[in-house]
Amino acid sequence: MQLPKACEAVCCKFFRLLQPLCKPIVGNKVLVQHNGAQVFKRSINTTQVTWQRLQKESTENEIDDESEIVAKDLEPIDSSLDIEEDASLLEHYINKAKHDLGSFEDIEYMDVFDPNKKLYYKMVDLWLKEAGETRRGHREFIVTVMHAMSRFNVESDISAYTKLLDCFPQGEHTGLKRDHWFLAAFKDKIADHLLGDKLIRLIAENGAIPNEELHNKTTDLFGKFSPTTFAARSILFWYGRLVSFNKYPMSVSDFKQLSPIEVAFYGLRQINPGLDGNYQCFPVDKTKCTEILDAGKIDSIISVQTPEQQTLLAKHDPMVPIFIEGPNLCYFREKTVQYYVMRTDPRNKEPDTASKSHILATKDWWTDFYKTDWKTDKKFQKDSGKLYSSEWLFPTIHCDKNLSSKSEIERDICQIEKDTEAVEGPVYAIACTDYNSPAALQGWIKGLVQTNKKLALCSVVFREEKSFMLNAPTTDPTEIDIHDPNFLEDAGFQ
Amino acid sequence: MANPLVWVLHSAGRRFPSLTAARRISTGLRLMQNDEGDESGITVKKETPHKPPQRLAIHWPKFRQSWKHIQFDIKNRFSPMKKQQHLKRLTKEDHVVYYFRNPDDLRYWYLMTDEDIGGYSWSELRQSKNEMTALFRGYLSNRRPRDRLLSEDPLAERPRFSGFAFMETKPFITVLDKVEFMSFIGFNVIKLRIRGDGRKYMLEAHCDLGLGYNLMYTAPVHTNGGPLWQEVKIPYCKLIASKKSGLLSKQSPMDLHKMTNFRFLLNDGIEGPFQLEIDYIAFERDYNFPFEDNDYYDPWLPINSNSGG
Repeated sequence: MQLPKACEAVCCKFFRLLQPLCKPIVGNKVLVQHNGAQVFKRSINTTQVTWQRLQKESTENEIDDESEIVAKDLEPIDSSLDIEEDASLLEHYINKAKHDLGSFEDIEYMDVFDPNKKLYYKMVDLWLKEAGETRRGHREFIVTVMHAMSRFNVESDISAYTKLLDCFPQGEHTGLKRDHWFLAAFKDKIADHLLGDKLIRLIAENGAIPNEELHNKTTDLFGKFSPTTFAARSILFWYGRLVSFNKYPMSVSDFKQLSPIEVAFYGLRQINPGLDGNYQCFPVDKTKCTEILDAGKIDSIISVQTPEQQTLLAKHDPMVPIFIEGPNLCYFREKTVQYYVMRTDPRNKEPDTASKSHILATKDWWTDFYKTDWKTDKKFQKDSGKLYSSEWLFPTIHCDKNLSSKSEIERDICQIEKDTEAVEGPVYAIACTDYNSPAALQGWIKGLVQTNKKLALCSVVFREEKSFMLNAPTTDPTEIDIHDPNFLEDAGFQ
Repeated sequence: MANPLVWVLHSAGRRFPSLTAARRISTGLRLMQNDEGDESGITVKKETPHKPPQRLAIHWPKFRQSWKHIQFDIKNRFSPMKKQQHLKRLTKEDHVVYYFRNPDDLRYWYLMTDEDIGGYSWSELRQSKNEMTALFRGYLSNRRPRDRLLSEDPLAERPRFSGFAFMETKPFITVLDKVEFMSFIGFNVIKLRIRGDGRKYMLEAHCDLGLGYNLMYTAPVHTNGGPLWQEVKIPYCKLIASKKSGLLSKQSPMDLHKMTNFRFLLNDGIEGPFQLEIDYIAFERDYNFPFEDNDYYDPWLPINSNSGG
């Protein structure tokens, strides 16, 4: 049945006015509009006809092989993107961005050398163009991009997060801003505010350095009295203060790009701190080693020695053996470093004869020997023991008694500090490898002999010790089985 | 030479599963057999049976202990100022609070892990081989407990579960179960001598302000790892007030008269073994740091508070 044209126009207008009220938000279905004509229904049971159409359009215009893009070999889809549509949404814009790379608008990102990062910014720009001023579908797009940031190596760049803030609908009358301290409680669109809060928690997780730009953008968007600006202020306040507890801070993206030898270097710098440490990398005779290591492991030996340890080695008695203690584990951020320690057993310390200085004369010795004053060389009076006879008129102050309580001050730490030195000897050097055979350590000794000539005279013994970190049981060794019939008796219940 | 018997403290989680939601404190010190040839004394095969406490009508040991504390308290009040212990600290430069030269010193601590919630990490506290320091070690696992299921809704959040483990001091009980506060008075800085494994441990001090108002003052300790000892200095002004391991926006200064517990917490979310060796915990006075207030003045406090006034 065809309605007359006037009725059709009236009905269309009527439905357009009601459209915001009639948004089908049943379960998690939301209407997303792109380019006016195409309407995609985002729900669990979809036919994906429209997405397939988009993918066909993108594959028809494939890129040439001469492009410099490395992002072609992107990692497979994250497991966090459970919905296939989220992944396909991303890929749609990624493929579009690959076409546009190399255009005139890329002058904005000339300082960005990593092609993956350029792709990221391009992708967001394209979405902004397509979405328009209303930014329909901004929440879904922001959530998918937040999950997929690791693919673009953009985690520690704060500009990537501020770019996502541009994806929110900008303007004065969006109903998003909360500028009044009282009326903020009666405003809507809490989902946008909470999304921004999630964004800022991501910044804190990934260790990106917050900016004034972050603060200004959040206040312009969300207002002063919203949870996002609260989070932005708190991250600006706490970031610097928490990072100061760490001596060697490093961003997440830099840590990911470290090679195993760099990880060993940073680990050794942490284990053996000192600005003057001597770091060296020695080769290993692989024919003598009993193991074959995998690709990601360290084949050579990296050693560190501070000048204080070098002097201690030079003083070492060659009759006493030097020990290399067995492999032990240490953590550097999330990765582990296997290290060996070169040290000796402690000995009874001899008194320092070198500290005795040749003294010519002291005040006490002079008065005892010559029986005259140290300064004036005058003889003392008979009875009083003073230099001048009329000194008896002056007031006397007996400084022998301690009026100040300096002698009564107690110090506990100095009594306890050096107890461990009697049990543990000094450390001479530390090295890092992934080999477990002693043949690998011979390369270390050969290399150290060049700088420490006394090592050639000493005998070095490999002392293998069971370390807890390498052989730790994952379950409690004293745990009792609940299904054991003797459980109750052993536990003491009757 | 390895000792045949070793004093060990274990975190008791699933060993004594209880139906109530009470907090399970670790078992007391136990003598356990040390494996032969295993000088580090890692695995332990048999343990002595646990004797539950006697249930008396009147708990006479409690009265005996409280009478001792009353006698000590009276002596302390009516003695000259030099001998009064809480004032003696003002003449001291350093004061060692905990050190582990005897195996009996471990009885002041207790352990807890996420086993209480249903997690799968374990820990133990024992004296180390050199018989001078304490070893807090175990395994931290991020495996989800069975109680905390993930929803099948693909749009719902999937937060990651991270295990935890900590060692905490037992409260001092004086007269008829009265909890007495530790005195941080007169000093400025907490000094530690530790040997860790490269992980981030949190040093925490618990403040009980009465009527259920409890705060934990935390500070992160990044350990170096390796064979060398590490001396860490944490001034009181750098301790951050937090509740349930979340930093508070409104920072208040520490009430030194109401500090109850010390704690070493591991919460960095890395799955694997951990080991922390502690030589001593001491207080010190350093005039480079302030004695009152903390370093966390927030200029946005009037805006961040609820009314914004």
